[in-house]
Order: sequence, then C-alpha cells, then structure tokens
Amino acid sequence: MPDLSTRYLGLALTSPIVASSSPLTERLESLRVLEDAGVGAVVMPSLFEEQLTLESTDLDTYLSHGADSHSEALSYFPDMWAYNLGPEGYLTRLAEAKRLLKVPVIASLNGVSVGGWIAYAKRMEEAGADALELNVYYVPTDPAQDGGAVERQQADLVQAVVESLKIPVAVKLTPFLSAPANVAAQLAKAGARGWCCSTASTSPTSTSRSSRWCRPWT
Amino acid sequence: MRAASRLHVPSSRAAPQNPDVFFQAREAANPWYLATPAIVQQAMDRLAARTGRAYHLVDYHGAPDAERVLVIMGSGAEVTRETVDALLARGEKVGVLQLRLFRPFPMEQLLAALPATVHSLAVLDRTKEPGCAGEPLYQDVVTALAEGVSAGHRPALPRMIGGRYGLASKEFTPAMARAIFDELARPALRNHFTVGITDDVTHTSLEHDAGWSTEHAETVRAVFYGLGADGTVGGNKNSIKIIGEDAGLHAQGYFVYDSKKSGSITTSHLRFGPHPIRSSYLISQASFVACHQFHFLGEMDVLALAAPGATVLLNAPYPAAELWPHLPRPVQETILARKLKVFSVDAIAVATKAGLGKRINTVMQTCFFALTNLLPLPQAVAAIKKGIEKSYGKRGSIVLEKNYQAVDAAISALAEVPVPATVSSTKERRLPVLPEAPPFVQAVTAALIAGQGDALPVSMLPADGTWPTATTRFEKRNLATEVPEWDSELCIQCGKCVLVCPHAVLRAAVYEEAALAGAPDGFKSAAARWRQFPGQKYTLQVSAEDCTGCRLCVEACPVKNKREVRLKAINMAPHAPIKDRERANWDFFRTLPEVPREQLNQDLVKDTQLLEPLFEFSGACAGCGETPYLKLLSQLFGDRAIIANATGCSSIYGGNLPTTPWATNRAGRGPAWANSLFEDNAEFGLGMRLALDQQRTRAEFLLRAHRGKLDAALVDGLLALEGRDPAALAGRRHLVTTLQHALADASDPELHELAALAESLARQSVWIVGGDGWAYDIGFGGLDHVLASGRDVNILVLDTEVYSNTGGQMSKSTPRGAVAKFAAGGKQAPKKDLGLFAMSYGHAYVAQIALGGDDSHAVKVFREAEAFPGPSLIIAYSHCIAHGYDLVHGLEQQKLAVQTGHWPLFRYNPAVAETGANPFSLDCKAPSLPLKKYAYNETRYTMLAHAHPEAAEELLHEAEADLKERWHRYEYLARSVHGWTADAKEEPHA
Repeated sequence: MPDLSTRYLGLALTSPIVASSSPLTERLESLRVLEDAGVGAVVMPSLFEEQLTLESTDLDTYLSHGADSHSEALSYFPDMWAYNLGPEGYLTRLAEAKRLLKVPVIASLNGVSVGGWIAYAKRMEEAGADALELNVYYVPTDPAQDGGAVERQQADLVQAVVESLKIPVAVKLTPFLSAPANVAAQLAKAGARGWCCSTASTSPTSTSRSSRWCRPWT
Repeated sequence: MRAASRLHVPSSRAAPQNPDVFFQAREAANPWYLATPAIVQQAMDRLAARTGRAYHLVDYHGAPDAERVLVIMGSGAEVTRETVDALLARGEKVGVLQLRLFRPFPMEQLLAALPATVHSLAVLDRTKEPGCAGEPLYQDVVTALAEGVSAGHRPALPRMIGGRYGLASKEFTPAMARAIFDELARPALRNHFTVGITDDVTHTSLEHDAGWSTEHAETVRAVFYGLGADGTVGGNKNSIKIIGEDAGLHAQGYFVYDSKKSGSITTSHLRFGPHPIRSSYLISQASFVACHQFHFLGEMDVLALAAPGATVLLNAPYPAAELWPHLPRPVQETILARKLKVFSVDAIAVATKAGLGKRINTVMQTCFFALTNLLPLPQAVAAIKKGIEKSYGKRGSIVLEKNYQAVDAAISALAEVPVPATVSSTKERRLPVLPEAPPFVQAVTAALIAGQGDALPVSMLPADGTWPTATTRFEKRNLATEVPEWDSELCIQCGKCVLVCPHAVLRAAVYEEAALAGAPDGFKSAAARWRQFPGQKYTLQVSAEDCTGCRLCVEACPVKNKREVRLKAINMAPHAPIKDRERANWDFFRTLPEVPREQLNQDLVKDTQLLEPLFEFSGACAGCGETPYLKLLSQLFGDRAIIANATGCSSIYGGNLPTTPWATNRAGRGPAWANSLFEDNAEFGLGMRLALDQQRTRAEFLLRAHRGKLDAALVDGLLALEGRDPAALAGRRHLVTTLQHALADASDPELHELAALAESLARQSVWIVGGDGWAYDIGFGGLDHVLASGRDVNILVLDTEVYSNTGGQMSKSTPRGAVAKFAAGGKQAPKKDLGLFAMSYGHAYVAQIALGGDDSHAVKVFREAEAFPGPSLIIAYSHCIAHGYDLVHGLEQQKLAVQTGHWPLFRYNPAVAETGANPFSLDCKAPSLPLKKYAYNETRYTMLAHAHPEAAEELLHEAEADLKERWHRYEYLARSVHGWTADAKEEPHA
C-alpha cells in the first residue's frame, strides 16, 4: 500500500481523496463506508441558514393558518412539545460523525447574514468540526455594485469568520469567476487556509418549491 | 378500579332481559339514585375546601323575604344574580334559585331553599319541547312544589309560570331577567312565555328594555373586530391571560365567529375589572372598540357598541393626520355624536416590516395596552413578549424575533386621529345585499349578514326550516385584493381554470356574436374554439366581487405567455382599479344565452365548463379542494339533483345561514339540498331515493289508470324506458312539462295527485355527499348499508383525510405518518381502503379521482357514476388547510399524490363486467416518485419530521410499503379478467 498521506488546511490526511459535501456524506452509515474505503476526510452537507429560517416561518404560518377563525375549529393541528427547527440536528450529527470517524470531519455552512455566518460557524467548531468550509453564494442585484466590491465583500466575510474561529477555514469557489486565481489570493489574504471548487451550477439557495420544502435535517 | 379488581370474577352485564325480571332490575338501582345527591354535595364540599368556591345542589341568592323568584340553571343564573343585586338595591324583594343538579332532581333541597314568602315564581328553561305541557325544569319545579304542599312542607302553592330563553346561546341579559321579575309583579301572569325575542306570531314574548344595564362602572369593556386570519382572537386570549395574571384584575372573554371559512369575521368581547365578573352576555356599551380591518368600517356598524366617550383604535393604511376624510359618513357621525377618542396605527405596515405579513395581532395588542393603561406600558410590553414566547417559542427564534420587532415598533406607529367638528364624508356603508335581491333576501338575509338577526321577529322566519337557495349571489363579499384577469388572445379555452375555481367565480360562455350588442366597454371576447359552434364568440368572465383571490385558476392554466414568461392566459391583477369595470362585465355576462346541454360533449372538460354551475360563491376556505367537485356535480346534474349532505365542512359552506350557495338556473331549477345528521346521511339519502321511487310507481299507476283522459302518446312516452344521455333527458323533461301543463286545471282528485307527482317521472339524480369523517368513520355503517341495498344513489366522498370542519381530527382515511389531532405522533395505522370495501360487493360503481391528477378522468367518473343504475361511490381527493401548506399549490399536490402512489386513480364499473370485460381499471401510471416528494410539502408530515425525526422516517418507510402493497393489489385486479386472473394458470394462488 503506497503512502498517500498529505495535508489539507493544515490537517494531516491519510489520503488525498476527500468526500465532498454531498448526499453521500449526509448519513453516518455512509460516512463510515467512505472511511472504510479510504477517504482522507469528509465534508458534511451544507447547513443553510436560509433554510432554517424558512422552515421556522413556514411552520409558524401553517400551524396558525385558519386558527381562531371558526367556532367549530379553533386550530387544525395538535400542539407538539418541541420542534427541531434550529441547527441542533445538524450539530448533533456532526458531533456523532466526529465521534465515529478517525478521519477529519469538515463542516460546511451557507449563511445569509454576517451574524448568522459567525454564530453558526462557532457552533460547528464547538460541535467538534476539524475545519469549516464556507459555501458562499451571493446574488449581486445592486447595479451600483461592481465585481471588485462583490469580491471584497466575500473576503471581508471570510475574514470575519476566520477571526471568530480557531479551526481552519476553506472557501468553496463558484465556477463563474472572471479571475478565480485572483479571488483565491484575496481569500487567502483574508485568512482562508484553502479553497475548493464547486461543480454545481445551480443555486444552493434556490427558492424553487422542491428545494424550499426539502427534508429537514435529521 | 372496581372493574380491574373484579377481573378474576368474570361476570356478564347488560344481558338481554325478559319481561319477567326487567322491571324489578330497574327498581333495584333505586338506592344508588337516592344516594347520588348527597354524594354530589360531598364532592362540592371537597371542592370548596380546596378552592374556596362553595356550591350547593340548590343555591338561593336574594332577599330572605323575597316575593318574586326566578328558578334557573347554568350560566343564566349568573346574569339573574347580577339582576337580583341591582333590583335589591332598588328595594325590590326578589331572588334567584339556582339548581346545580338536575338528575336526580333535588326536591328536598329546592323546597328548603325557597323562601316561604315567595308568592310568584318563574322557571326558566334553555330549551323548547314542542307540544309539551311545560319545559322539563318547569315541570319538575311544579311537581316538587305541589308535592311539598301536599306533604305539608308549604302552606300553599305560589303562582308559577315557565318560560324559554337563550336557545342556541342567544343572549340572556339582566334586562331580560328584569322583564321576568316585572312580569311576576303583574296581577295576571303570562305562562309559557319567551324572553329575548319578539314573538309576533303566538305572542309569547315578554318585552324588555334593552338599554337597562347592571354593569359595574369600573369594568373595562372592550370589543375587537378582526378577521380569522389576522390573529385577533389569539392576541385577545393572550391579553386576558396577561391582565388576569399580571394586572391582578378579573378578566373575561367571549369570542363570536361568523359562518364563513374564508374571510371570517371575529368579534371579541373582553371585560376587565376589580370586581368579579358575572356578566355572561356580550358587551353592549364598550369603553374601547378596536377595528383590526379598515374595510370593516365601510361594511358594518363597527361603532354600534361604542359607549359615549369611548376610545376607538383603528388599523388604518393612512397616517392619523390624514385619516378623517377616509372614514365613511356614518362612522364620522358616530364619532362626533358620541365624542369618541380615535387612534390609529398602520398595523399591516408594522407587521409587514417585521416579516409577519398580515398577522397584526401583536401590533394591535400592544396598542390596546398602550391606550387602556391596564398595566404600566413597560410591564405590559414585557408581558406581551412573554406571552409571545409561550405561544410561538417552539416555532423557532426567528419567529420570536419578528414578533418582538412588531411589538417594539407598534407604540411609535400609534397616533391620535384629529377629529374635526363636522362630518365631511359622503361615503356610505355598503349594503349587505344587492338592491335587486328578492324581498325575502332584502328583509331577512340582509339582516343576518348585517349582524341584526337577533332583532328579527318570529314571523319573519320560515316555520318549517326551509330557506330559499341561490342567495350567495346577492352578498358580494369583496374579499380579494387581487382577482384573475383573462388574456383573451392567449387563452386556448380549455376550461381548466373554470373547473378548479372553488367559488365558481370564473365562468365561460359560447354565444352568437349578436349577443354582444350592448356589452359594456372592456367586455372581452374571442373567437370560440369549438367545431360545433363555428363563428361564435367565447368569453371567460370573473365575478370579481365574489372571488377570494386563491389563485388556483392561474395555477391550473396550462398556457405560458412567450413574450413574458411569468404570465399565463389568466393572471392575478389588483382588484380595486378594475372593480367597477368587472362588476359591469359580470352583470352583462349573466345575460348571455346558455349553450343547450345536448349540443355539448360532456365527456370533455372544456364542454362541461360551459354548463352553468348551480353551486356558487360559498363560504368555503380560499383555495378549497372540496368545492370544485360539488360545482362539477351541479354543472352536470344540478337541474335534477337531490342532495343529502352529511354534517361537516360541506354542510357549513353548503347550507349554513345566512346565505346558500346551492343555486338555480334560469328556469328556476336547481339542486334540492338537505342536511340531516353526521351519522345517518347515507340512510337519509337512501330514503330520498326510496321516496322518489314510490312516487314514480304511483305516478305511473295513475298515468295508466287515466290514460283515456290524457294524450295517449304523452302517457306512452312517459311510461317508456327513459334514456340517460343529455338529449334523452331533455326530451323527458319536455314530456313532464307537457304533462304538468295538461294537468294544471285538473279537478279529478287522482289527476290532481298525478300533477303533484309529475316531477318524479323525470330522472332525479340522488347524491349523498360528505367528508371522510362521515364516510370512513361515523357514517360508515350506513354507507355500507346503502351500498349493499343496490339502489340507484350516487355517493360523493370529499376526502381530506381528516375531520376538517372540527379542526383536523384523525379519521380512518388519515394516511400513516400524517399528524392529526388524536394522532400527534403521526398516525400509526394505514389509511383505510374504502374503495376496496365497496368493490367487494361487485354491484357498486366505485372510483377514486383527483382533479389535479387527471381532470378528464374526474369528469368521466362523475358521468359514469351518475349513469350507473345502482349505487355509485366516488372518492375525491380534496386538499385542505388541515394539510398545512399554501393551497395555491393544491393541484400540484394532487398530481404528486397520484405520481407517488398515495392516490391511485381507478374505476370499478359493474356495467363493464356485464360485457365480460374486467370491471376494474387502473387509470394512472405506476408510482414514479418517492412518497416524500409529496408528503414533505405538507406540515402534517413535516411537523413530525421536525419534532420526532426518527419516528417520522420510520413511518414514511412504512407508508411507502403500504402504497406498494396497495398498488400491487390494484395491479392484480387490473390484470384480471372478470373473476379470473389473466395469469391464473401461472399463479393460481397469487
């Protein structure tokens, strides 16, 4: 068996093959299979701040819809003791993955607000993530904002997250950059320890019905 | 415990008894009845020891030497007590005797509690027993006193009268109680009286002074008008808790709801004060009035209950300084006349900015506390936020933050409205019904809509409970801010939008171009795309004032505008700018001629949607999944339909006052509709069928007997076997009408009878309609009985998979894994296969349909079911707000239900079996999507995934296994050749 060990984000890996953020890394059983097959690290699927917000507001909307409107039906659903609406499900699974696996476990995050990015990043670190991958997606709709401003905004965000964590941070680069190398350099300057390339061309924050109502984290 | 402790001693209970011992067995129980009053009193004493609230079997309150006493049970006793206190203060010798135990009747306690000085006594019953000698409590009291006199406990009987009050929770006020005390002071008493109504028929009612009040001056009396959707009631319930707990005041709330499920108005009556509140009646003089929807001011007398000097809070879309000119004239007049202090807040703007949309309850609640000073404002705000956390905390921090933001922004958005010295507005309040409505609707229905039903005298009400149909068309509720607008150039005239419209506000017509003469400006038309109507015009028209804005029509439209992809051939547009234009267009559209039924191919959706719906503008929820089926029924068979409707949503939006959506066509024909009970609806409908068949048999006998006196060809035509296609039905109708004309002046008693029975000679279509709660559960025994009977009835099950009308309780139709009341952990058992049950008889037509899955299939099923000369069962998928998603996606969900195998489409037609072919037809493709693609779009499933993810996942897997098993079963049936499977040789025991 040749020695394939290498380093990524400062982490020692037994193999240069990293299982990227995907449905393959969603379940603990498949993470184990990946490790047994020899991956050097795993990246968990992204936690979407926007999705958590949407699930919460949707649940509130539809549990309230029609309530207190008719004398024979003051509500339409039974009251549950609690709902797993925050990032807890994701964090629990992250901690469990960390406990089960020997290879580094990298968390992935897609935020909306700066506060959200930092808050969720910290909680992932606390849950035991060895590193964090930032899944940055931004739709620049302001006609007055040029490409440079967008890139600087992303670099500022990366810097803010890096400064709030002790674990290394990587950034997932979109394939639609005019000057990817330049952007990578800016992000490195902002504190990113590495980057990865996404082949996905679809929006991770799509508001199409199928993705809006995709299954909650378990 | 007793039963458990005796498990080792088996026994038999309730065994059928014969006459030899039944009597003695009944008397053997006497000691237990005799002991019961003392046991109940002991329980009351224990309660008093623990809570300080002392109750007795009979409680007397009033003057020890009272001369006039009322005897009463229940909450009315509190009102009477309040009245007695007020009259005692005036020196009157009165009292109230409150009974807290009815059976066994506490005779001894009643005799002991009644002062010996009483000379006149009235007994009040909150019930009516037609034809009785007196209502139950009255009779018991009379008996008790008579026995008391007979036994020597009292020297003589007082003067005694009985009366009725408060039926169906009608108001019972101190003024009414006082009217009874006044009656007891008269020399001659009116027995068997009523109070609280005006009986101008049999003149039983006592008059009362509605202005007489006993309410404490320190009690804050607040009335709130809101919509069900804006959270007003929920906010007020929280306010009651806050004031009761944090302000240390006594608090009370009554909530009044109207009969509509879309745009329902709620009225909250709240009392707060330092003294115990016994006023179990609504507020009539409010010190605070809040109107949470600005448009109410133009539709109803929102300030009717405002006392002079009261504070008024308006949710208004205008700044306070600019509000006055926007108020209707009657509102301005009342404000000036009663010197009201008016405040306003743009609650929608505040709530929208906070991300709450139209949920304005926390904004209005905060303003209420700011204006009433029931609590120091900082303390009130803290309490409101605490209440929000309690109510919404489980739904996530983002929801809490939005509500907190709304509370914080509310105070600064609140401002006093400057009130000028004079009225300036010329805007009048909208009439409750259209001016052209018939006299009954103008006099009675309009009063009900305006909230004046309590004032209607007895003579105005139909004595037999029969009300006119087709009255929703006069209501014009103007609920929608956006309504559909037709693109006549793009439209392919498929009729899908008309088909799915839950409120029948979209209509289509084909007509000769000449009919366009006199059309108003802006009335749209296009060349009709029907081969049989060359050169004719087509119009798709919306009744915008009846639309609820649900958008299902837009979702159903298959056409896309290539120039602007967001648009279709029908699109939502703001209502206000086109309101007048569309009203004129609608009025004109109603004058267009109808296409004769027999010229349409009723197997085609587009043709059926030219038929006039006879079910329109119901009060069902916006986007309702049930009503399109009823509308289709009314289009296809409405002019000869008789409907037995089970209790449930369909009986509420279908028959609850004030208006009725079942309508009539231009010939005055339309469905006859009746609702009996929840549990007997199938038998109720079967009874209609049997009665019609009896009438027909008698009519045919009379036709034969009097053939010589009538046109022989007419008689022979009517006695011949009738066809069931549209042309044959039209021909039959013509024969019946001819017979009716021929018998119009008949003097022979039997011919007179034949005239009365003539309608039964036309084909009547009997429909038995209800939801899954009825069909799968409570009425299932009857449904089974009717299916077994083999009689020609049609059963339509509007399957929402839950008891919708009563708030989402689990039925046997609820699928595995869905959350419902009584299934908070997700239903653990699979959905009952009602279709398979029905198919097992072999002689019943059975089909399962979903409009969003296959609309042509649905139309075909309705026609086949109705034509089948035996029992037919249609199980119709109906999306519902109890599923928990935006119903604009209802049709999409129906399609997914079919594609995932949750809702297979099929038909079982015994008529096909008679030809030797397979009666079972599986009418959809095999499931092609995983169940979660359908299920996890709905809160009824996702809430379990949020709360108990592992359980949800397990149930989802089990549910998928259920679907696979059912699909395989159906595939097996579909492969079979009537009675034998096609592959029987290979799999004899498959």
